[in-house]
Amino acid sequence: MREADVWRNVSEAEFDNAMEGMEKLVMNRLYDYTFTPQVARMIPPRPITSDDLERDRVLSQRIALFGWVEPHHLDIPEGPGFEGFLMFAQQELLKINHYKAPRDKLICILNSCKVIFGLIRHMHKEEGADSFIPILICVVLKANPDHLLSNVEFINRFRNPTKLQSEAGYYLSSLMGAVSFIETMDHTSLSNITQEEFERNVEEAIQSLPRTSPPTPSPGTPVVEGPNSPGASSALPPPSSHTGEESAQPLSLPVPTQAFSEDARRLFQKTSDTISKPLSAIGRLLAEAEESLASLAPLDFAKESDSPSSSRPQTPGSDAQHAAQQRAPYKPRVRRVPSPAVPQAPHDWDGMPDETSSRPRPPPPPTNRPLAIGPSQQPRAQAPRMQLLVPELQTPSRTPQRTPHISRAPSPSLDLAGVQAEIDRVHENATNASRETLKQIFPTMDVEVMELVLEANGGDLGRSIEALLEMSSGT
Amino acid sequence: MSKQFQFKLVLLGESAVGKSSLVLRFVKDQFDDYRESTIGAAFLTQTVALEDGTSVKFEIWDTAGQERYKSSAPMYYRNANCAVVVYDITQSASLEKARSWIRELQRQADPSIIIALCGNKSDLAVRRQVSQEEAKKYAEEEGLMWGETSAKSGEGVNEIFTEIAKKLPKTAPPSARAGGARTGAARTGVDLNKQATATGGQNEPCSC
Repeated sequence: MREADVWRNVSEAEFDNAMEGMEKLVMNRLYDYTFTPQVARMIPPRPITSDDLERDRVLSQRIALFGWVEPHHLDIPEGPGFEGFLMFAQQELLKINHYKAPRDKLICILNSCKVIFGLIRHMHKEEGADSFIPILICVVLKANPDHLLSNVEFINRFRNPTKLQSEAGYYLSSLMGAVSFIETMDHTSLSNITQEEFERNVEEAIQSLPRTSPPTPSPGTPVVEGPNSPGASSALPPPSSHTGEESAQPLSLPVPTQAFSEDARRLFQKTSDTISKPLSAIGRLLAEAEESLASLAPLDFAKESDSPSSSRPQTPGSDAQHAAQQRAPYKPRVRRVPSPAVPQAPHDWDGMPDETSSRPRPPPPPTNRPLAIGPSQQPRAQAPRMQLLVPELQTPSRTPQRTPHISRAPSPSLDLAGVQAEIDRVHENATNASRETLKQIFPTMDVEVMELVLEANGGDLGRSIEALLEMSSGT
Repeated sequence: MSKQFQFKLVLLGESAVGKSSLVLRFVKDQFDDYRESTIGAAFLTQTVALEDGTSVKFEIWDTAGQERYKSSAPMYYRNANCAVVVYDITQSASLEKARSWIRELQRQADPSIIIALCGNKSDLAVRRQVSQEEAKKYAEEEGLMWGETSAKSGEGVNEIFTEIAKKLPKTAPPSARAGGARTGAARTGVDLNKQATATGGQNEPCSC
């Protein structure tokens, strides 16, 4: 490749980029022939030359048996914000099935690890493998991504070997270590649990598994691969949409343009160009968000559910910051997700040809549309999960439409000024907490950049993390 | 430009002996070229300049010390050029654990691996349970390097890594060394670079 006219005289860095581009191009085209779960779906059928699918199935089922494993079983200390970080780490890992190129899949793994280190810093634990590995295991158990082993093998086989050394190699090995721990774990490998409890939990998990599952091994013994039954591949979940090539497609963030300098806008444009939507992760996220919602104290929920209608505080670094840290920083984001009350704009999803995910999505707040000016990709910019909220764009006219939410408030007859003050306070806390969280995940990132990104994403933490991950991975 | 060699170093030892602190001390102290690693502190790199004008870049792979993760250790020490096995001088049990790691390395790891035994927490000498003589004797019997360190004060930390750097063979071309860092049994695919390497070495362009 180096000898071709086009690349003969380019610098090493440019050539490296060209190699990356070539790998992506080739692997995107060959995806159906090289990624085992895709090969299995080919028509006419092609022979499958690896046992990836069987291993995927076995692992996935094994993980399903351990859905009850909680952080304390792995001696992971929990604290405020823990669940949120864990959820983001899962979400990053789950994106792996949304990309086709080996590099992109690998980046999903690395991003997930990066969020885990954000959590470790957040908990003020010593950074190192002692605290990292247990959390990684926890994330794999909770996320249970489809075809995890096929994905890892795909990366091993098709990623440029020189790019699988060093840091990437370390974290890929760690993921494999986490998988092998899960494959062999029994009650002796967990803390705070007796053999009886362990077996009872596994037994219950077996009962609740779908009927299509093959016989499950007795608890405490590693799963042994059974004979490859002919129905094995047809029993797999239906193909998820692998629209993984779209990371090349630009996406515009709904940034109120007048608020930013030219530089900042370019930065966001650059970021947008590389972000692609983790649509397949959304359904799962929704389910989890609903769970978290259910677990919130009603009062807490009610307070927060109103907050977006308040004006967003713009001043950074207030005294409330420290106190805010004690709050679970992700609630603002979580509470939005399953909102059934946001009205659907009928044509919001037009012009999204690659949007084939069939999972449920919350519609974007329609009030965003007038401000997401210009770029023709506007509908993409309004993609679901990221949408959550852009509080300053909420107009009073939306309030009636949100009635179902508000009705959850404990006392509708409260005096409005008091409510407003409370709302402002809560919201400010949430914003400060988000800011702290970003600092923990990106300790080396310029604080002002984080402020801008947070602001540009309407205070949405999840979205900001994604934007920052993209930005930092590019450097 | 001085010649740089790259080596994979795996860090083993019971949890709470201060493995991670030891490496953080090594990586963050003294050297100017410390760069925040891109993901987290479980994987760090640090370069040591030697008197002969060469420099050695360590890729440091931290491992989880808890017993329950022992079975995944081979994934980490595979293809490692050197290992630092850490114990806590105030906990004699941690030396026992270090011995079992060393036995495993001697059995399972690359035969040419250089192993250093490192007694950490030398600042807590008043609570010492492992004498210098005992550890040193054991290290000599097994042909290991040995030293005591304090991740807290920094004492002995750079010394032990520099000693390892000196002892590592500087024969293979830098890139080839680094290339050994990740070629697991997991790799079964086609290596497109193989042919180019076989015919012309690392610097020859691939003709595909």
